[in-house]
Amino acid sequence: MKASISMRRIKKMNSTIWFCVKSLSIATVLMTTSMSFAGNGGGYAGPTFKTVSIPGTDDKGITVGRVHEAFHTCFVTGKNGSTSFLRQILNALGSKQVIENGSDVDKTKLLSLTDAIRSDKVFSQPFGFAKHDEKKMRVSYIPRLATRYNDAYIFKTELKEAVHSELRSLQDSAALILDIDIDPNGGRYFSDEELNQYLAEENNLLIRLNTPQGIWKNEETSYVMSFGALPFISYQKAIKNTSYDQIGRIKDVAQILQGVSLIYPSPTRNGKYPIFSYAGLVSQNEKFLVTAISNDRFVSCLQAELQNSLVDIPQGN
Amino acid sequence: MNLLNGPLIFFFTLVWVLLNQGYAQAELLHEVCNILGPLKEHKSLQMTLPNKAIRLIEIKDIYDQELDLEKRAAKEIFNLYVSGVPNIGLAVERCLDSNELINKQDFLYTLNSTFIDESFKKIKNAQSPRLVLFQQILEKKFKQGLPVVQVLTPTFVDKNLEFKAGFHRGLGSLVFNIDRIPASEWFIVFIHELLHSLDSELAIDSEKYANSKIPALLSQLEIQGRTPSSPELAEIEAWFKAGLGRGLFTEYRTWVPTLLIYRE
Repeated sequence: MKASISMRRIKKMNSTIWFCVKSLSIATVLMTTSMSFAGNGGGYAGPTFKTVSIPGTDDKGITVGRVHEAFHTCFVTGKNGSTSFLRQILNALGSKQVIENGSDVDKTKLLSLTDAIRSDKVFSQPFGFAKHDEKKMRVSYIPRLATRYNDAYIFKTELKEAVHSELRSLQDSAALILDIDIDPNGGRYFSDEELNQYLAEENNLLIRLNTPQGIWKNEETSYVMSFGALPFISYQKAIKNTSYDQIGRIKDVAQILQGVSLIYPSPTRNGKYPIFSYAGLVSQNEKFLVTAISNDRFVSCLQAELQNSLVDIPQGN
Repeated sequence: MNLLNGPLIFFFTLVWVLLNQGYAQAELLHEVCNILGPLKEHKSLQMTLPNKAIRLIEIKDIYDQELDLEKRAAKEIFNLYVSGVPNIGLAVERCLDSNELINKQDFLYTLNSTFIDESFKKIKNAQSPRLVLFQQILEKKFKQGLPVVQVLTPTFVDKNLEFKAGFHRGLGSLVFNIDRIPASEWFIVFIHELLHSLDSELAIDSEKYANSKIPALLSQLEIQGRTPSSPELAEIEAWFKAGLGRGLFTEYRTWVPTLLIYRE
């Protein structure tokens, strides 16, 4: 009787013992990792039948709407307090901080920029801007969309609104036009006519993201959205996903994208892009402050958001 | 007597193990927090900015420095991980949680890109013939776009995710749960998942298997209590084969080159 009770106790302790052994192995590095991690579903000993019985509905891809949401989150709002790419741009340009200081923004900024222009990080180039009202910022947001989907237009409108909202605090407070232009090779890549057209818009701040290549086109790949020099989100296939109820009636139809990938319009991934911001009229020349911004966080944010937008967990190993 | 000794031995072993483990984790936490030290210091400097009259150029430099420090710290953490330190993701998150100055999410994003970049660098610098060929194929493939890759630390890990790593058949994305992958396996797991992204058969089978008409057909057959016609049977069979193709068979297809590369 005693023996049987003890056996039960010992059996009960099995899990504790196993935990103990595992912990011991980590602490003393006496056991191999393969032993301590074996049987946890890693499956790296080779293929298993476990990967076969996955419902077909689980691995379809991502909806177009979710892609847009991911882009919106990472570009405008940020996630869990993270710095959005737009905020990074503004931080890099320093505009937000100057305004928060509550200083005489116009003069301070121009003076600061004038100082900056003397440094080697700033160049001067007569871009032929149209004369502008120095009391106001101009906001213009020009997403370049190349898409086969009608709802991309909705994205454009919504995103534009969101960006305006984000930048609203900057309006009427500085004599600065931001012309954010991203070009891995440097140089000039837009016409005066284009600039004048942008400046003629009613909005108050010009943010323009561009690449010399323009919108990429590739016969094998389609783009959900192309946004100047920001990473493109592309897909290989779009499928119509029809879900059925238990008796075979159609419940829902959605566009699902498969083979989603990111395309970096830069020779080197995660490179720093120069950003040109208009520094105002100094002497007789237009001046531009050059800064640089990395898209590392933005890309990682997109990766996480796209991944986490899936309904299911990643399948297979 | 023996029966009493057993539990006592296990009890003391457990205490000893827990003490050791606790000490090791505390040491790791301390080390990771030290790595993040310069970044924390830099962030505290930023907190003083609004009270100072500073020039724009200085602000820009300060943000540049922040990103550089983040990258440096992330690279050190990657090196620590590949040197064999376990549970690094958990330690990083704990340290970030105890530190209000550093934006946790921002740092985790940088950590993600650093893990990916450093791993690609390692593949790129490899000399073995198969890895060189693999690198060439990747480069060609990546001209069409890089896959979505996410390195998971505990914040991002789905409770149901038991895999060390995974390749999503539909999205084509790759995830790596670093706290579940021992450092000794990291590169082989990384290469294995990348190989999945090169498997064209997998994409075809995944698409076929994603055809939801077949589950609906199976449901109808069950309700109507009839046997499938020959064309229906052929469709069902193709669907099942595609299911195997996107599951078991793709693992065989991918493990063959994985092992060949591993041997080199």
